[in-house]
Amino acid sequence: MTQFPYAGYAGRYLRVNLTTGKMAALSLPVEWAENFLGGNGIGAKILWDEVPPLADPLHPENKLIVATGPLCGGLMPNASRVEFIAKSPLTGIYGDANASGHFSPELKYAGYDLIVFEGRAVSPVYLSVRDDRVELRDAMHLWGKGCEDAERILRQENRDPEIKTALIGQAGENLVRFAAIAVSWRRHAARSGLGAVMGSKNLKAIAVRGTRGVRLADPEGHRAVALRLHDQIRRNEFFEGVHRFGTAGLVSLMQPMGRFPTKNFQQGSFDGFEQISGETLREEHLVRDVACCACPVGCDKVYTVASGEFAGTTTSSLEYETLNALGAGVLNRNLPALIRANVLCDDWGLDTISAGRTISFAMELVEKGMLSPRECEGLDLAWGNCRAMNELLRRITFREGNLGNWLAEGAARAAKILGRGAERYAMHVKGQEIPSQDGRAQQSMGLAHVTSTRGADHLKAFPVIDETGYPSEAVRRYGDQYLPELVAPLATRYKAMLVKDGEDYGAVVDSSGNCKSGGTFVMAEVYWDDQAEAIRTMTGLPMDAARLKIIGERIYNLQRCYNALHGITRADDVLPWRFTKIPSPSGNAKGSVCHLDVMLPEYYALRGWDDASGVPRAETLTRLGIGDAFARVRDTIASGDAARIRANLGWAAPYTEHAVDER
Amino acid sequence: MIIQVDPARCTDCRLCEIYCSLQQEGYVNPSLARVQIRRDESRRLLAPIVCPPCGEKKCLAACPEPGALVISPQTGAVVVVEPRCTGCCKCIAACEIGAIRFLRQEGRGKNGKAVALKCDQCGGDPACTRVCEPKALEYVNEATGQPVFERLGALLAEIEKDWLRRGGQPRRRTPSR
Repeated sequence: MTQFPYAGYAGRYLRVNLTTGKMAALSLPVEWAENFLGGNGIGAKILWDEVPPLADPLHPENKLIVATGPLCGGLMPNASRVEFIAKSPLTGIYGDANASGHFSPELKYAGYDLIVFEGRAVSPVYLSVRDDRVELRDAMHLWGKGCEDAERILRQENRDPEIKTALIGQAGENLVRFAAIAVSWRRHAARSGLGAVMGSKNLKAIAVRGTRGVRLADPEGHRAVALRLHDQIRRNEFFEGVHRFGTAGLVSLMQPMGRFPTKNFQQGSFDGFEQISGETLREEHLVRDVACCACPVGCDKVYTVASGEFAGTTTSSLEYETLNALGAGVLNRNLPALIRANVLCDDWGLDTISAGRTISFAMELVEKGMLSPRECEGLDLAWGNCRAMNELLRRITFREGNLGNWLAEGAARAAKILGRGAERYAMHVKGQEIPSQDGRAQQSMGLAHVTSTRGADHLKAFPVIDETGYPSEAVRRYGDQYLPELVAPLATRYKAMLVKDGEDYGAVVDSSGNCKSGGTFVMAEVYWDDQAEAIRTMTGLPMDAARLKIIGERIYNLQRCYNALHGITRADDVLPWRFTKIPSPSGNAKGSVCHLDVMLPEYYALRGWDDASGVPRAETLTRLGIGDAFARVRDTIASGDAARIRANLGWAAPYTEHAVDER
Repeated sequence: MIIQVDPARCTDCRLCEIYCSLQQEGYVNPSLARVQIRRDESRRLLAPIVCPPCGEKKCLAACPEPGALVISPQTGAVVVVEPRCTGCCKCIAACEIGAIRFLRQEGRGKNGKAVALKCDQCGGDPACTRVCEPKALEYVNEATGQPVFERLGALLAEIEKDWLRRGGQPRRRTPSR
């Protein structure tokens, strides 16, 4: 093995073939680090190179990449993200998800930047990594166990309470298409359904213990920049709120904007919001504040229910997205029941966003008379029925009955399977359910939902600067020439720029291992220059903002190209009708629709993507140093393969026609 | 001076471990940190374990090597003098809260094989307290760390109880590497 020239990285990665049981610790290719940085970027590169477009996501041909970033394990505030990349069973296209917690630094300390899982084990296994000792072990005794039990058993049977795990619950085992991967301690890489990829490979868990540590290229320099950013984050005006309430604090902020999706996006605000707000949660249920590794913010929490029907329920971190998807989204105002739902999703390993949206999809079908009581198999799927919701979560997890098995496919596939025009109520983009924003109330979010490379998602671009309209952060990042439109949530001007910059910067943040809830987006203290300085001092990579911007753009374009191989075009960059045709009924957004027609052409122009097809132009890819990607996309489209793949992705396209009768 | 520990404020962010290991070993390796966080499975109980130091200092009495474990006249910290430490582990076994760690490494200690690692308060400017945002660790001028020591001991017993209650095996006192 050759000596890796950069510090910060472990310089090695693992390739684990689950079919043959063969494992190898290999030198990390230097060009991966130099051109794709780490985490998300290297994962996208491996997917592009090694998983052909014709591969089925649940077939052994798919690969699962588990990757740290160069900043993981070091001093950088909130840099502890682990990135999972694979073809998504939910969308059939590029998929990724990440989580913080304590797994990623542990993997780095064990001496590996990433793990590539290939093939499929004949029976359930888990991967044990203890520094240089890497073993595939039998996991029959863990199969069928929830995340919490499986994690505890792995620590106990290895007699090491310091083991960190990444694992799936029963949802991943049962190939629920929105199954999550749980990471110590109870953080979740939930989107894109990558838990089902682990399940399809018979890979129950990864258990890691690392004692080798990580070396820094310039310890004094890195210490200086990390401490400077640490102190800046500490002084940020949002620090106290983010620390005290975590993302749950957003409930009260989004409500008056009409950006708090309610009743499957029929409404933009919820009259029961105070019952499920971050303030109520903290006041009535907080046990203590906890944090992910290296994070001075500590937005993670331990909550418990002291009395009543759900007494004894203890959960870690109940996020804004969950409060919305399993709360307002289904008209559930029972917070203890919501806490229980969160525990169920965490333990069984379900993405709370997709789970909530799939249930609200079903509830709306019932409301509209498109799903009969008999088809609900004894469940009363009336809006707000939280007990039915929790029971449905169980049936989905175990694919029990026709109802559970059907909804385990996610809203967009379920709509296609059902027919009857059900796609009108599947609120998704490219097969992934839309998270808890509303493009009518925040134009940039609508654009972000459609241009995200993993289907509907807020975190790829994560436009927060115009969310609540704080000009100070916008001025710091972009100067004052774009005010006031840039920070006005209902204005479309400059939003293409905001989304593109967010996507490129976000790709770098997801690749360096940083967190978007900390200093990089929510508290906008860490930007291109800081990120470059942190990476340079940690690794010794000759990094500056200009080079980093190219890397971010390169990563994002490669993901887009991968989707183009699957026949994804501009025709898929659409929001469901409700966002573009039905004026918002709520709050500040009242009367507004999402103007994708205005923002998208501007976005493609900024991106250097073909306006008609939405595919990156040859000169764009050449400028980014991935010119050969163009020929592959062109040839795959020309051969008809791309269109054939697109036709078989399995989900019903979002309904985009003129307004239908709400009945 | 003592390291004051308020476990209720700890968030388990491990910045103390990270900065400690960098300061002490020149690279980041929390498994060598002189402060280490112990926790129960639900993370309701968090205990940043560090030598305050305590009142009784059983480690000093247990150490058979003259001058290997001494009290710093500047800070009052109990300090390992690495060139004299044989890595015999007697101090480690004597410390009831497990605040001293064992490192088997070529070139370390008197015999070039192993050494005990413990908090030396960074000579009077602790790296951990600088970055402890919730102030679970603070560097304060107090005569004795005995109350801190007792608090941590009680918390560890609770954590151990939780571990056993959930079916875990009793833990070894002396970690080996």
